[in-house]
Amino acid sequence: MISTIIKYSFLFVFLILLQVLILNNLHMSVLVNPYVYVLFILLLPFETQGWLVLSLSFVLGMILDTFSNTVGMHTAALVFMAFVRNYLLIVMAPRDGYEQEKTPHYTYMGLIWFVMYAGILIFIHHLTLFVLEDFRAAYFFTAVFKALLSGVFSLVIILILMLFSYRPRR
Amino acid sequence: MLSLIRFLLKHAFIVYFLVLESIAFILLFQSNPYQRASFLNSSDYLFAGTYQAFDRMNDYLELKRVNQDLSWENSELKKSAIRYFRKSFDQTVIYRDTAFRQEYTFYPVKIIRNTTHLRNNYMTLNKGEMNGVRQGMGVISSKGVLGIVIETSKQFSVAMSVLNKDSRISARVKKNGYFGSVIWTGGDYRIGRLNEIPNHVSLVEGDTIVTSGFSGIFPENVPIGTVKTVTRKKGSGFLEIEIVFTQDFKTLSYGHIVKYLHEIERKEIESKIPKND
Repeated sequence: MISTIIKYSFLFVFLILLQVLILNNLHMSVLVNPYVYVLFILLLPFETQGWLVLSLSFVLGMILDTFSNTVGMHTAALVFMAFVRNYLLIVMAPRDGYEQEKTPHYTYMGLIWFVMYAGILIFIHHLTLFVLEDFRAAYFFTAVFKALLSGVFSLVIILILMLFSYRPRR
Repeated sequence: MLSLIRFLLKHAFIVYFLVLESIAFILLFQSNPYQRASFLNSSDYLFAGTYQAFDRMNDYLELKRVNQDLSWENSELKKSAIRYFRKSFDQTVIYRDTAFRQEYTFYPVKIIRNTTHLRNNYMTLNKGEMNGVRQGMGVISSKGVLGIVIETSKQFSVAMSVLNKDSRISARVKKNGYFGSVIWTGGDYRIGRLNEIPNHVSLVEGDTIVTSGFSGIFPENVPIGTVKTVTRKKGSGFLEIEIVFTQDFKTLSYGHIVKYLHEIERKEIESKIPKND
């Protein structure tokens, strides 16, 4: 239990620094803005209480907002993603339920399952974020396009990160 | 009452979600870019300090370009400095300047953080209230207008970049004096738009757009951009003008904060204008 908390705290700080100091400064294109910090919420263990997931995403969103001067934007997107995650996990559950003390990591659930799970949630998060960024009807399709492109990019970075950084116990 | 509590407990997850999401949305839609909750801002010491530490590493990589810009600006200043004009006189000149009164003064700042790829871009500057920076002051560079200060802390300030959906810069066409406002519609960080220029005005590619000086935020005649395309739209009384910013926002590192010295007096007299509404 304690080691889990330490591990997740480390991940929390690492992802914020990665996002704020490196990814936010990439300035690749107007259409490609990867947001990788969502990985923290994606990787929370299956049995984490719903209120805890929501609270953590609220705090994480607030910190990101403070760093990027976007009051409430990341928070709204991330909390909404955490809300959807709760139901998505129910829908995507294997026939005999999730095993105890397991995380949604691809080493347990298979790569296809993880890409589906992460892909849907990343798209929801990015879309909410880009729609809130400029709240006008004319901008909506640009936002969808941006969310798709940036989402694919975020997913690739997340998979690479998971390959060699975070190894859970088998 | 009891059944209400029972209902809330049963749907605790959804209720909690709605509470958190409402807080986020209230913050999001209440926050006017000019007056936002100051505890949620990267001008705070911890956040700006993190950026400053990171920015120091990048400084070395940009030295060459910064030096070029500085020497260019130096030579421009030398051209206009009054002592270089007076050298041609042989007799002693008593220079007592009462005809001119200083209107603006400038503080040099370093831009320690800047974005161009978002819809709403901001920049963090390394000077704050301690150095006299206040909300509403303009930020310019040697090449053009950068933005307006919206938030200050003791040692840092945050400016809303021209590349922001809430940014409107009062502008003028240099050759004929027609004025309008420059906005940014998103997308390409090099391209802005000049609005409110009537249909009958003739403009060609390359015409210079400068600040009007009406607002007292920027001095007159600071360059903003040059005209790229002009389209006449049927049924509209105004031209659709695309401009190219003279300042490349991806290469910012130093700038000046503009302080308008007669602000208080001007506000006082302007507050006497009868309000229409």
